[in-house]
Amino acid sequence: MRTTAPRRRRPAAPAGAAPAAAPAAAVRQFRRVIDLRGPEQVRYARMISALSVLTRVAFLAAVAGVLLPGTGGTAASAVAVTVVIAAPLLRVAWLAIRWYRRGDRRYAVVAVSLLAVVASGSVIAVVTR
Amino acid sequence: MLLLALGTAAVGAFGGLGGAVILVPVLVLTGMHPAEAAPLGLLSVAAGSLSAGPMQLAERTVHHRLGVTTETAASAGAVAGALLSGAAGEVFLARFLAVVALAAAAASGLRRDAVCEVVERPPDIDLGETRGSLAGIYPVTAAEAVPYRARRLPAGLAVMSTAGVVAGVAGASGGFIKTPATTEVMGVPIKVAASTTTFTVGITSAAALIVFAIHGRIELHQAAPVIAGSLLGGRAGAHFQARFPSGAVRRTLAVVLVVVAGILFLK
Repeated sequence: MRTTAPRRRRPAAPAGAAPAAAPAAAVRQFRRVIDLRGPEQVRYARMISALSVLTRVAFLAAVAGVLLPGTGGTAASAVAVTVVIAAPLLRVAWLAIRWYRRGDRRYAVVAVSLLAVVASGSVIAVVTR
Repeated sequence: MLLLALGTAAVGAFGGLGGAVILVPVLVLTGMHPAEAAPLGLLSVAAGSLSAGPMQLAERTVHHRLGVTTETAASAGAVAGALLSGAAGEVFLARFLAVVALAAAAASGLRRDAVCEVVERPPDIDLGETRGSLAGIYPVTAAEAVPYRARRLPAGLAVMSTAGVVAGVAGASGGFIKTPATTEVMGVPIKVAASTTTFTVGITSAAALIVFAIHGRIELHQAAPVIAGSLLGGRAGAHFQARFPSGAVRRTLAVVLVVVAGILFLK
């Protein structure tokens, strides 16, 4: 096992870092804006909530699919399968829109390409059914 | 089916392999056709990926740009594998599954804790992935973080397409290929590699499952217990993994997978 003590280095000062001691009066002159460099936890808060909801929906539908007899159980199972398949693709679509809006066009195109690959696979599956 | 999915997902998540690589061979050993077991394995993978998402996003260890980029190759491989598995015979699929189990055993048994460079974390540094690049930094403690940058992208894409084919044909996640490749080939820290792989295996599974659904190969009455069991088991396994050392479980899993592979070959 390769286990060595972690090496440490002091990082360079981040680009655009605010001066250490800005006068409070000067700060008050500007409107408060959203800090786009905020931590991922804040950046992806809505995605975290959405994934949590989808997980609960998939679980409840799957349990209903196990417990309910007949067409109700089949319908609930279909919902669980649909949620589990759709969730990662919705996440990619969300990322594509997010990156496009924030000017990261290159990775927005990559995300759309990924969805296009999945869509192409679906078309091939329909043709070869 | 519910208990089997729960147990394999819990053990798989605890051992860091995912449940499908155990679930699918066990289903085949109990008499299920490999072509029927593969979609159930992928449902288990997709459910595990979904349930792990919120926690990993909160930890800021998922690199979405890296995941989406490498996933273009993996999804193409998964679609090809899913189409191929529909035409392949039972013997080929069982032996392919045995080879996959052996590969997973090797990955589990030989896994190492990679060295990473820790830096002091300035209070206003941008955490998570860096916009417009395959670089980033993830927090280790309140005072420390690990910076990284993915390299050798073409080689990484080649390995990911192989992992995609494995997922499509065998119904296993391919995560046991993706995570070591992201770490060893692309130079990404293990924590980020594992989280990003968990994100991407959900997409790989979705790509292959759409093909299976269109071909009418998903049995809904078997899918529901697999999804419910995998969601519960995956969460339980991740809970235990965070609290207990998983080295012994990984080695035991490797032995079990070798035995399963041997039985699959003989069968």
